[in-house]
Order: sequence, then structure tokens, then C-alpha cells
Amino acid sequence: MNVFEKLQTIDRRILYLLIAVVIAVPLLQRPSRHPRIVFSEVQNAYQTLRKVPKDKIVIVSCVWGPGTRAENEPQTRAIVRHLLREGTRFVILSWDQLGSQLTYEDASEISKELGKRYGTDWVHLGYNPGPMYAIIRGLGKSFQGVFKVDRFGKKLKYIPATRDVRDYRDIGAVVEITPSGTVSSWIAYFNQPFNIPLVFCPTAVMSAEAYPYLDSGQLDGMLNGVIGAAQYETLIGMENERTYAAAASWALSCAHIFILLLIVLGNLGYALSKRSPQRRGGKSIV
Amino acid sequence: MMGSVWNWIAAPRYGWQFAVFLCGALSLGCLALIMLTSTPPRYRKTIVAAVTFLAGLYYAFEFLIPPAFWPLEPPRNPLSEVQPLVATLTQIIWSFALLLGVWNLFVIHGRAVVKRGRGWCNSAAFFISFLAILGAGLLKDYTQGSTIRKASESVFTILFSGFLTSLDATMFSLIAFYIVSAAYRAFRVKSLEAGLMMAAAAIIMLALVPVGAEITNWLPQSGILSALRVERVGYWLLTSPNMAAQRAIAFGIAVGSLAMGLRIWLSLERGNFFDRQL
Amino acid sequence: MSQASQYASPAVWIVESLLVFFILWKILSARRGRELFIRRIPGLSALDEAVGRATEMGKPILFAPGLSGLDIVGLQSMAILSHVVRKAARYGTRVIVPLADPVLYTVAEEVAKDAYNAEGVPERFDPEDVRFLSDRQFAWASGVVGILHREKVASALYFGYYFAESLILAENGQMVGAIQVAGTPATTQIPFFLASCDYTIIGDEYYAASAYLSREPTLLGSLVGQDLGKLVIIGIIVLGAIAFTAQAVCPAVGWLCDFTATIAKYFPRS
Repeated sequence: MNVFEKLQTIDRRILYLLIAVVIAVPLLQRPSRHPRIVFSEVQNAYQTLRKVPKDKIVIVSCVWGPGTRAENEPQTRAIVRHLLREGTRFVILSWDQLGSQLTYEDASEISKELGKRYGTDWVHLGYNPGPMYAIIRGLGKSFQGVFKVDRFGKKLKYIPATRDVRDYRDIGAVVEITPSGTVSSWIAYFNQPFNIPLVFCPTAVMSAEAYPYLDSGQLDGMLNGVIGAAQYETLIGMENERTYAAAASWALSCAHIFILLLIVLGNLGYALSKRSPQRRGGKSIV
Repeated sequence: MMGSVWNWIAAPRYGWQFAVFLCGALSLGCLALIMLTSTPPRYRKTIVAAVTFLAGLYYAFEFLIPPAFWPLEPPRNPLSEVQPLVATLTQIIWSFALLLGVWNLFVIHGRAVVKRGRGWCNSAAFFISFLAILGAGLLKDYTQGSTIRKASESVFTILFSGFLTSLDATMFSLIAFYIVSAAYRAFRVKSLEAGLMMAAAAIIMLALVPVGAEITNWLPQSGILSALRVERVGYWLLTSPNMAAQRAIAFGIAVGSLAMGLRIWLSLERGNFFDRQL
Repeated sequence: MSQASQYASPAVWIVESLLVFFILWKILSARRGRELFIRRIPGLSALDEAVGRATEMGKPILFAPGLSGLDIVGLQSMAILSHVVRKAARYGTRVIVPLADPVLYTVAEEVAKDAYNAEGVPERFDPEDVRFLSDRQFAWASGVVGILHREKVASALYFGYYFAESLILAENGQMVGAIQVAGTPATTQIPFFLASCDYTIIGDEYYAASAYLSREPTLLGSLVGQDLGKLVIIGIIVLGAIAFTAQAVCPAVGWLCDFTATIAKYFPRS
């Protein structure tokens, strides 16, 4: 095997080791610097939530679990922090058994840090098995008809933050934080019919399919994976803090450059091997 | 009237009331299942088709018929008013579906443990972990004694944060490794199309991360040259060619879903499982 | 956002009625015996190749319906499963079906059982080949990866709804040297399948699968009706694009302004 062929067939274990190092270094070093650019969709998400009237409530719908924690948790934390700082009441809805616990812990920690109170400033509605379309369609008509109690079994009509929430008229915006294609349910059954703003927080891989909805105005903003979370942190004044989202955005930068380098190497080997004398002599490359 | 009866049935219950309602619901469910299975097959098929049609009809009528078409004063769609009830009902039915999965796991792994075939230890591990997290979770939430509660909380935290969340996150992180090997293996510029695809992928990869903006930061923020900044080119790719393709595929999928939905709703689906003896 | 409605607008009524009309019309005409043409879809033709390879090697086939539940995507996946199991049953090849949805699991079990019955070999059906692994995305994915490696499957077929686990499965299938065919309506996962699978079915080809495989008149008619429906949508898009462009070029033409205003009223931007 000549050098050109070797360039095309690097052992996958070596690649795995290298990518692990490339990602781990920025995460361990934790640089404080946030991304310089803030995408327009992140800016729009920020503006949408900032404009929610104080007498209305925001629904933070979390479909994520531990699997996509690395991307969806920074988004959740940034949104929750922003809403608590703005003094906008919100409820967290979890569609994942394990995510229910994680989102509660995240919101509790930030709420404690900012001196806010559970029940007055925010409420966690616990895990809901679905189906999403039926629940989403129903809650526009009667919020407390669909969600009767919070995660501790306390009736919503006795909780200060939710006692006045009747139907869609008391809901100021929805934030959908998800690793899957669930946003279309909100668009079809809630936000479009009741004309309520929707902010979408997908994992980076899912964001490509959101652009038609952003263009049509059916989505009011988007946080594109952990990079979107880092940009959102910049907007809420955390640009100099050593957050996980900031470190992850640099780790992703390194990983992307590394992958591009590998692709170039592989192609270089492929192109040169095609020109090599052996190749011209008829030796085939599998 | 119907609404208030349903609200009374669907209200949250605690303690002995919860137990009575749970047993009642289970008995009714079993009764319905027995009645359905004892019905002759050809009638059973008709019943299933009728229930499917009626369930679909509710959502179709609820969406398609505006309030002005209903002979009611003030104008309203009565089907919309029962939506919260429908939501609660489907939530309950959906929750029961979770039991089906657990039942299947118990049957498959139980059989493996009893037979002591190859890999039966893995099946035993299923029962141990299932019972451990279930027990710790129940003790954590329902015990009064502080010692047991604290101990079960610790066990639950170890199982939940130590094992479950870490294992789940580890599986997701494997994607990073696989994407490297897949991209390295698959991206070969063998044609013009492959070259264009690779160039687009490279621009998007750079545009989405902060380092991309740093690379072309020497270009001005406004004016003609600003269009060459990598994040602008990436944004154009995402919002023009990508969006056009996404929309085209979405239209095709939507029409395909509508056709499939219609066939199921009207029981026109033939040639697969709908044709079997129910 | 403009004022939206909870109920169908006249535009929705018109477009939906047209789509439904074309689909039902074509279904009925196909049932009356009219011959309908359907182009070759390489990914679906490759299913027979996948079954053949597994038979030659004496190894099982893995059919994974992804994270689909009992919905349109899941039911379509079951239609494809039925075809695959019938083919495999003919040659005595095992098909392993790992599921992530408990409700779909019961349907999959029945589908597999019926397929063996239809081929006259009910005794070959092993209930343990259709198994519910977990409803958790990555627990399910790790279970499927385990099956791929333990069983050394010859062919891996991924038909259903996939998210981040698509690449994990396809790369592991590649590692064990399985011939891989994938089909999903999840557009974001198509690039991953393209990179790692031998054949990938894109977009609404997924919904054409049952018609293509069974050649059943109802399904073929539905497929042709779908294409006519897509022509309706293309017509609306082209008409709207021409009208708005013409209005931008000649803003003073009264009837053009009225026409574009009518389009904007019935097809509003949010």
C-alpha cells in the first residue's frame, strides 16, 4: 500500500482518538469567549421572548432527555435564565421521563441563583406521555382542562403562577426545545391556529428543516444547537462567563476544522493515486 | 352536563380513591378487550373500521367546519369545546400503551432467564436494574422515615445520574466518532456534483461555528464584499438552495401522509396487515 | 404574525378537496382495472437483493422501524416489513425486528406472523425475533447495535422515523459488512444514511414503497393521485410567483393588484 492509499484508509481507531482529543481540549480549558456573531434567528428569538406581556405565561416545552443534554440543556438554561430575569412567568412541560427531572433541576438551580420562587415565577408540569397533537390542540381551549396538577400533584388553580391561565389568550409564547421533529405539531395545532409566537430550539442537526418555517414566519426565532445557546447567552449579558455553551462552541469549531482536514487528506490521496504511474498501469483501487 | 361528568371522572385522585379508579379502569379495559376478542372476526373488522373512521371524523370535522356553519347561537363549533376532554382521554390511552412495552420486556427476558440460554445473564441484569430503579424511585417518593428516604434518594441518584443519564449521553456522543469516519470515507470528489456537495458542506460547517466568522473577519461587515463572509455564504446556502429542497420534500411528504391517512381512515389500505383476520 | 384561524380557511378547503378528489379518483379507477405506470425506485428494488444476500450467507436480516410509533410513518414501515418478511420466509431466512414503540411492537408481531402464515410456513415464525427493546432513543439504538454485532446480520434495513441514532446504526451496519437500505421521511437524517448505506430512499419515495412493492391497485392509484396532488401544489406556487412578480414589475395594473390581494388573503404569510 503506497502513501496515497494510506491517506485514504487511515484506521478508524486513530480517527476516533484524534477527534476525542480535539473535542476534549476546549471543553477542559473552558475559554470564556463567546461567538462573535449572533445569528438573526437567535436575535429574533431573544426579541420575541422579551416582548411577551408580563400578564401572560410562556410555555417551555422540553422534549429532550439525557441523550441530547449536551445541546438542549444549554438552550433550556439560557431561556429559563432570560425569562426569570425578565420577570416573565413560565411553565415547563416535559415529554421525556428523564428530561422531566433534568429540566426541573436546571430551572430550580437558576431560580435559586436569581432569588426567584417556584410557584410564583415558574411551575414545572412534570412528565407527559403524549400524544403531543391531542394535548397541544386541547390546551389552547382549556389549559387547566388538560394540565390539572404540577409535578408535585398540586392543583394548578391553587398555584399563583398558573391560577389565572385559562386558555390560549393567557399564553404569550411557546419555546420548543427538542432533538426531534416535534415543532410541526406546535405550528399546526397551536401557534398557527391561535396566532401565538413560537421559538424553536433544536439540536444542530435538526435545524436545517426549520428554515422554511422561519421564512414563512411560522417560527419567530431559533437557537441552533449549542452554538445558538452560546449566542443567546451573549444577548442576555453572559458573554464574559466561562459557560459550557461557550466552550462547546469552540470545541465544535475545532472538530469541524479537523473533519475538513480529514476530508481534504482523503481526497488528496484519492486524486494523487489516480495520477500515480501504478494507477495508469491499470492497477485498480478499491 | 356531559362535560361536568367527564371532569368528575378525569379529576386527579389520591389514596384509596386512586386505587378504586385504577382498578375500575383496568376492569373496564379488560371487559372491553374480552368483548372485542369474543366478537366474530368479520364483525370485529367492521367495529375496528368504524372506530377508526369515527375517531378520524372528529378531528376532520373539528378543523374543517368553522363555527358559522353550526346551527348554534352564539356561533361556535361544539366539537372544539370537547377538545380538552379528548386530550385527557388520549393521554390516558397512551399511558396504558407504556405497559405493553414493559410486558413484552418481561416476557422475553423472563423466558430467557427460565431457559438459561445464551446470554441469560443479560436478561437477569434487566430484571435487577428494572427493580432497583423502580424500588428506589418509589421509596424516595413515598416513604416517611428519613433514613430509608435518604438511602433510597442516594441509590436513585447513583442509578439515575450515574448510570442512566451518562449511558444515554454516551450513546449520543458516539455520533461525533461516527460522523468523522463516515465523512472521511464518503466524501470523495469523484464528479462535479460530489465536488459541489463537498464545497457546500465545507462552507456550512465553517459558517455554523465561531471559527468560521473569524476566518473571514477581515472582510467588511457591509457592502458588496461582505457577501463573501463565510457566515453570509453559509446563511445563503441554508436559506436558498437548502430551503427550496426542504420545501419540495416537505410538500411530497405532506401529500404522501394525506394519502396514507385517507387510506387508513376509509379502510382502503389492503395488501398488508389491514387485510388479516382481526 | 397576522391573524390566523383555528379553523380551515376557504383556501384549505379548496386545496384539500382537490388533493382528496385526485387521490380517491385514482384509487377508484385503479380498482376498476386501469393499468398504472410506476417508475423504478432503485432503493426498493434493492430489498430483494438484500434478502437474497442474507439467504446466500445464511445470516439474518435486521429490519429496524426507527422511533416510529403507530402513525402514518410507522404503518408504512409495517407495510414494507410485511413484504420483506414474506420474501425472507420463502427462503427460510430470519428477520429480526427491534422496536422502540410498544404499540407498534404489537402490530409488527402480527405483521410478521401473518407474513409467515401467508407463505405457508407459520412454524418458522419465532416471536423473539420481533422484540421491544426500549422506548428511549439511545437505549434502543445501543440495543440495535448489539444485535448487529452479535447476530452478524447480512442485511440491515432501516425504514421509519429516525433522528440522531441513524448514523450510529448505519456506521455499525457498515462495520459488520451488511448491505444496508434506508428510507425515512426525516429529511435531516438523509445525508447520514447516504454516507453509510448502499441505497437510500428519499422523501416521499418512502410513501411509494408499499405501492411499489405490492403493486396493489388501491396503493398504485393512491400514488398516482398523490402525484396529481403535487401538480396542484406546483400550479399554485407557479401562479403565485408569476402574479407577484408581474405585480412588482407593473404595480399600476388594477386587476393584477386585485388578483395578488386575493391570493394574499387566502394564502397569508404568518
